[in-house]
Amino acid sequence: MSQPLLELLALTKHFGGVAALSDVSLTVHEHEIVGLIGPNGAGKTTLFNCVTAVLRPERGAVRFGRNQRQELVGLSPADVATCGIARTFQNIRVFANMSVLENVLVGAHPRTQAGVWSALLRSPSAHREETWAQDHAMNLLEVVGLEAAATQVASSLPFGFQRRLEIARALASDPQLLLLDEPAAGLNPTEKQTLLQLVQRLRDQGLTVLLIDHDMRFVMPVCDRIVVLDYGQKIADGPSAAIQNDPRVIEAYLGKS
Amino acid sequence: MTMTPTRLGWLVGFVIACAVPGLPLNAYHVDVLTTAGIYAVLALGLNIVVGFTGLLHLGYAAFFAIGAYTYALLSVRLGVPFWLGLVPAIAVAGVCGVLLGIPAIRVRGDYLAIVTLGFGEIVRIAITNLEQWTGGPNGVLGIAHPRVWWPGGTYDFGVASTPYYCLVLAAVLVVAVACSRLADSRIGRAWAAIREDELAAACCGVNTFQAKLLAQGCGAAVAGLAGALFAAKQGTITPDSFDFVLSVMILAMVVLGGLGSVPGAIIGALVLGTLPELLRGFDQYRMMIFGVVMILMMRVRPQGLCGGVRLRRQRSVSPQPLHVSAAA
Amino acid sequence: MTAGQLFLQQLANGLTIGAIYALIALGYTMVYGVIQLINFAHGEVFMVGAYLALTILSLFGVGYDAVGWSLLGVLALCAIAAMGGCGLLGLGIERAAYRPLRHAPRLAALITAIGVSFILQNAVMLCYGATDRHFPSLIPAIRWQIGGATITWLQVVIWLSSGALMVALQALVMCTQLGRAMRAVAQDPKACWLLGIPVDRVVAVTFVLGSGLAAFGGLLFGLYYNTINFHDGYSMGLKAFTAAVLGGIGNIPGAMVGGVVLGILEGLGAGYLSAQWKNVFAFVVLVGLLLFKPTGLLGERVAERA
Repeated sequence: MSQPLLELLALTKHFGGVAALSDVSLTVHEHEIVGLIGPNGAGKTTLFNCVTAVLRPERGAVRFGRNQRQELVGLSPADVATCGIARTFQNIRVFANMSVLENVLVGAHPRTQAGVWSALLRSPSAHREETWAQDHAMNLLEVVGLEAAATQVASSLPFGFQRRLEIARALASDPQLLLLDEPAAGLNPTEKQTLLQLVQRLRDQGLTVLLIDHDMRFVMPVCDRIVVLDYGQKIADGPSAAIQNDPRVIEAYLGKS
Repeated sequence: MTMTPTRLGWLVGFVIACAVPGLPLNAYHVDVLTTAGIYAVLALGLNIVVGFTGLLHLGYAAFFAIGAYTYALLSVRLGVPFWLGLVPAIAVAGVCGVLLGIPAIRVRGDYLAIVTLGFGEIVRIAITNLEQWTGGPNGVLGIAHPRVWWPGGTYDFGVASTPYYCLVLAAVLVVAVACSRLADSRIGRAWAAIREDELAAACCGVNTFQAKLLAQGCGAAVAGLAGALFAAKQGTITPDSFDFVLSVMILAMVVLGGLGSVPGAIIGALVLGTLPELLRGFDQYRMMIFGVVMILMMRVRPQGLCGGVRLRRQRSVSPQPLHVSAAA
Repeated sequence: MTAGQLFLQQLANGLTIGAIYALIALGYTMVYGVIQLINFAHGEVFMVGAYLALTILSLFGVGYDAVGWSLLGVLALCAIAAMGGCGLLGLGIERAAYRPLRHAPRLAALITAIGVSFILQNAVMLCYGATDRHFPSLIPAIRWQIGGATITWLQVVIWLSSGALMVALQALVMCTQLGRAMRAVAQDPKACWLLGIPVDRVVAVTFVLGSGLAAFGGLLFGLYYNTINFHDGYSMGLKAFTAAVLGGIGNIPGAMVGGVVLGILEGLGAGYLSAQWKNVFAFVVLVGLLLFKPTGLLGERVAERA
């Protein structure tokens, strides 16, 4: 059994009077692909936002890292990214006026260092770093199949390609944990298949993945384990097959008969 | 280096610019071009803040003033020569850029514009009121002109227009090259990412706080350089040269050229900077013409002459609160 | 003057200028409430109102000795003409400059607004000259001594007339169908459009109302200060915007409260600090508000934009 990489302990987040997350605890182990599912409004994206420090939970802890259990609550989103967590967004948030390559290069920001003076003086070390970054970015574009579009403006890409771009950008920081928020939404079945294989390949290369999605035909085959949220509470946590037949999960999606 | 159309354009422009002192132009025309050159430096600096990073800034003239007054006061009070006085002018302006940027970090788009406007006006009024230090509404007189030493003797720039032209041209080139290098670097990409989507940039690991301050510091420092050049050339400066109208004019130059475009900033400055001179007879209509130009620009070609970016309506930085549907 | 008398005097003065700020601030707040635009040109509309009023008065060859009902008649005509003229001006600006940019990036709208402001300033400067123009003080110079402070009939007129207009506006916004539509558009324009509410027309009316109120403020400003200058729009405009933010942008009662509070603060400040720094004071308040309490005293009312 591999080590825990991400631990959420009793995470609670309110918006006004509404409890978006109530005492949610879950663990993601290294090299796992965990799916986070639940009806609309269950709190899935809120959970992502709490992990990546976009939102601050009222109570609870988020611990990350193999050995140093780094407490994530209270950090800034940039710090969380530097720790080794990368994410994509439900409504794609690529950098529209920048090229595809530049988008991925921004993703590599935590792995590079050059500052203003290096940029101005074009020192050899800055030049080396820039070359490395460009190669790294091109490799990632090849992984997601976008290398031909490297110089195109991101906003000109079709929807499915933009999703892939977001993933390449997230991978650029060499993360340990990848959070994918509805990566398959809006993709056709072929694209979903490609994405599924990509996620599995990434896991084989050492990545851990936590993903949100609605499409069971995508989630079930790719995930080792599934966590189900409903009204901000965790109602199930286990292997795919068990979840499919869990009466509480069925009730959450379909309502009491 | 391969010769692309853009590079060729740059080269041609550079050659023409260098040839100006040799052309049969009178001192007045050279002076106009020099002033346009100072505007170009300002536009390049503001381009870092508004064009690269997407921070709406309506108080840029304040940093121009700070640079000018820093050199002016050092020159008049302490006899500091120009080449030495440049450094504190740039540094003080840069530091002020960072300091004024700190409180404004979390302010959203529209309000940031007003906050920067407020800062700009506060600086100008403070300069006007602190008579003991700054000479008040009468300004500072007797600022030293640049001097060049060589084995043969010294050469004081005085009031001849050509040496200033060469100096300003050199400044434009240096700043333009610096801005191009910044744009194409890790920090430049971080700035652009903040402009496009600040939240996504933060989640990619960009320290948005530091990056925004850096942008404002760099922009202010460039304005400081322009200020020192201006003070040295004019010999006299007064607070009403650094008003809100100037801030708007520089912004208009950047937008006209194309937000984020380095050649665009220079071209925008040349066009709008020489316009008041070309319309000498229409002095009274200056503001109206600017107003019309700005409105037309936004309607006809908002991306500017050289195709810059268009600052979109910002996505909300904080995610929307949970929408609890009645049906669930 | 004793300390208490000074305080009362500055309070009264502050309340007067505050009433004028409030009238202008209402325009800023209503427009920001419906289309999230800082209408940079609004201060200029106020200034045009003052100049229009002056023009009407000059047409009458106003003997500065008009009294009683004829005075009232002249002033009423002035007010109507200025408010009507500026209402049309506001309408025109909205139609020609802002409506095409309704969905454009922020910067475009801001630059357009500044452009309109520049054009108006220059136009007035060309028509009326760059120097200060004298505005007759028509209200009879009756004074009262209350608690050691001098209150003039003019000040009372300002308080009463601006108060009446503000009450009327509040009644319109809360009790009429148009007012309901305005509040609805301020909350959620898309939903309004889906429900068939004529959003464009509501926005246009908002501009007309705001401009009319600002124009009346211009008339009062002229009567009170007796000089007007084409640059007054810029300075008064920024202060009125400060008042609008102070009360909570988009919040109509907030603009009224904000205007009065800012006026009083400024009055007290001018009395106790130096007059030179008076203008800085307003800017400092503005910047401080935007940095630390952008929602203002009564809370802002703006649609949440995704």
